[in-house]
Amino acid sequence: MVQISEIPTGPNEMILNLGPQHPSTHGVCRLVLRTDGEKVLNIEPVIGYLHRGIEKLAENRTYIQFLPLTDRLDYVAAMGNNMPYAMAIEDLMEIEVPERAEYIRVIMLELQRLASHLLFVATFGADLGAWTVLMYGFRERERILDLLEMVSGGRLLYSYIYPGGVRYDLPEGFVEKCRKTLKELPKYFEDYNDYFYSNEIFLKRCEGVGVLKAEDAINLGITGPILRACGAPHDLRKDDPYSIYDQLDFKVITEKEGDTLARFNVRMGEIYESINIVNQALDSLPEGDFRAKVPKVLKPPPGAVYSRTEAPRGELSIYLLSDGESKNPYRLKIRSPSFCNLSAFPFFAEGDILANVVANFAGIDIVLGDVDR
Amino acid sequence: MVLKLSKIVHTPPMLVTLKHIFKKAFTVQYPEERLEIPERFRGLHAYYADKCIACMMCEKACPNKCIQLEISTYEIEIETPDGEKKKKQKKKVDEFNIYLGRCMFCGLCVDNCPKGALGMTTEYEFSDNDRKSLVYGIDRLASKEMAKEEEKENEPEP
Amino acid sequence: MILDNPLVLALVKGIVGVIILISFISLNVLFLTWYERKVIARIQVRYGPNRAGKFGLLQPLADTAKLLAKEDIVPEKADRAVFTFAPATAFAVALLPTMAIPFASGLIVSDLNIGILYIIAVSSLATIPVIMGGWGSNNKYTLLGGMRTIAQSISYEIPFVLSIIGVVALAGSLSMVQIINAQTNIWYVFLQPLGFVVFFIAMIAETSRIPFDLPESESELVAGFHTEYSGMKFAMFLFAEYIHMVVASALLVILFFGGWNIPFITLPVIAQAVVFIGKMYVVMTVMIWIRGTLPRITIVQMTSIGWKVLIPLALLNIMITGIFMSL
Repeated sequence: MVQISEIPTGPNEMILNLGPQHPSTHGVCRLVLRTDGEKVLNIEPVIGYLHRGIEKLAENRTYIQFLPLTDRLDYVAAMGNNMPYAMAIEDLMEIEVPERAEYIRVIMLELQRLASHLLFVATFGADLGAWTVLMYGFRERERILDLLEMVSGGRLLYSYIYPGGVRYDLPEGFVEKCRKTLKELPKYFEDYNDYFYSNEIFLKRCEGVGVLKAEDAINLGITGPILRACGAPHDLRKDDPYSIYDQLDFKVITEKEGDTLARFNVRMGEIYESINIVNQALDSLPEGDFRAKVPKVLKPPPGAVYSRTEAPRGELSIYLLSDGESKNPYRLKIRSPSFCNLSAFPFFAEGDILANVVANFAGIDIVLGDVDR
Repeated sequence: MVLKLSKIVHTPPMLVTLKHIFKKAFTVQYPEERLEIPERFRGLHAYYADKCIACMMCEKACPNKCIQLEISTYEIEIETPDGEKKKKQKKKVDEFNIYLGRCMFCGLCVDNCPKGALGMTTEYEFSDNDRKSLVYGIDRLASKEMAKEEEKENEPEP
Repeated sequence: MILDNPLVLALVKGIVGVIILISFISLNVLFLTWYERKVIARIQVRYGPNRAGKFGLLQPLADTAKLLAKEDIVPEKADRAVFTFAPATAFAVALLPTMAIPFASGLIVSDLNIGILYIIAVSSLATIPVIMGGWGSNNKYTLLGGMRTIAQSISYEIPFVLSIIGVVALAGSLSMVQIINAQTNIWYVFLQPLGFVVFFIAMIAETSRIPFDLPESESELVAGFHTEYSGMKFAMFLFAEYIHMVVASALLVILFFGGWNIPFITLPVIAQAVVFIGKMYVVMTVMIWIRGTLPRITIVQMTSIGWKVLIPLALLNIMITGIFMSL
């Protein structure tokens, strides 16, 4: 692909750099724009500012030592990153996870999805210029992070889901506190509903921005809430269920228009569905072991496995290849959702004015740790 | 009047923010007030020198290689039940250093210790001005606050 | 005595008046920076500045000290003359309208009998320093910010002026004091609701407040036209913006809320000044409240609101006022 800066600019065009340090790129992402006045003609994302070589580091760490490093991929929704890794090891070693552990895992994953979508709501408002929503969104997120801190010991990076189950059992008082928090949350979400949906300015800024059709989205490899906002009801929790998702009853939220407002609606709907799922899981939480019997030093037999999960941002999958002899993975490849979504971003964001490019970028909700790994 | 209006029509966004002006602030005035930390928080390590057998499992388990032990062996004489005198090698820990500047507070060292000589406390205020002073030796690692009895119970069994 | 000479008397009165006015406005602006931060913080469920002095009241002094101590950076390829004169021009132009605003009967620096015309003419000069700053910084972001300001200011000057015509017609004079005296029985906001709405929106757009803060949209253009400024030059731009806000709310109070009049009560001069400033602060609180709530609009929406919605409404207002007055 030709670099934008090499194309000669016409008489009225200008190359503008939405640089690595910018208040509204979620992390260090550089967007090189070729604009004609206010209208953006070409976008080229330049990434790599946060590359830490996680896939190469995996070859020099044992399986358990690598688990805290998977947290650092999508650092905003860290529980979801441990899951495909743990599932990959369990597939290779054919470990049977006890039922209580599965329920605890699902509770943690759905709470994490809630927290991640709240962060999306907060930063989306901030990028549009409404700074109050930033504060309200983070206040709600704090309540959930308190729950997760009670269980795992960390507020942002947990390393809680281990191969075979979870690392510790739920502490005393967690179930009551969780139920109480989840009962209070919908009251605050009424505020958000009122704030966003009666706000003409907000609706006008999001309607019709970044329209994407379902076939284009599937061809470009986009997954997650963006795909569901275009009308394709694709959710790995229903299509390829892992853990105990097939025993839980929830809806897949889809919208038809495919613009930024639809993506926002999908995520708000998913927040309510997550509360529903956690309540169901808390109701039917069985007793038992929280972790299967796993050897202290993990040495999976030779083989390759690809385990897929539905992270809050899309499909997060890990391809694990082990050669049976060493204590380290032989090759680990991470398919991250933000990377694929960002690579498809220029296709539906070009041709619009600068303010809409920023609104679009906020609507696809990427995290740079996921993009650069 | 405001409450009734919001039941009839959608509360417009200006009334939402007006409602919030009169609520109590959610933030905490940090140095004077502090938040409560749950027990399982992974903060500064606690090292119990009397329980440590110098097996070096924590040093091997650390993903970032921040723990460093200096051990020395010495011989003692013991009597076997038969009455013979034998020499036995015992290990003694000279130095136990954790480089907190590199540590990511994952807790793998605590999980892997077979005797429970390492734990994690809820201490999080140990910033300093100099990198060298972040190497904590035996004297500085908090050993009076108990870390986790339940950590021992939840250890993965070998 | 030398003071008997009427020319010298007028000169001395003028100079003393100007000095008092500038200090009063500056005090107001300093207080307003603290007030805005506190109100926005309460909307956002947090405290706001409360460390510098009790309740953070010395925060503006701390800010001034900080800005004075900062290094003054001029970009290498910037146009030095234009770059340096922009903040000074901004401050000077912002202070010009304050000369004609009455704070109580008799407390006015120069009681022009074309007061409102003078204020409108001078406040449209406010775009020049913005363009100077935007162009002189040799930076694409600032250029975009400057261009957006031109578009916004031009689009909203016309509704701004047209909505005042109704008030002037009702009062029968262009003089500020006359307009206030004509509202002793009823405020014009009840007689001209349409004009009030148009003026309010145009005023927010002219002072570049959210939702119309495209020139300095923080999350899109880093800081708009004042990206490259640091230290005291930046402080000048900030002052100029707050002075515009003070002037605009004073105008709103004079034109539509009766200045210092409360119906059926006559007040002494001190009480009049207190009432006037109180009303001004209520208007400014509403502007700050709007800032804390609404997001920002795009340039396409801004121009279409200005030209396609506000101008027809203002013209309609003039027509209705004309019809009523001829009856």
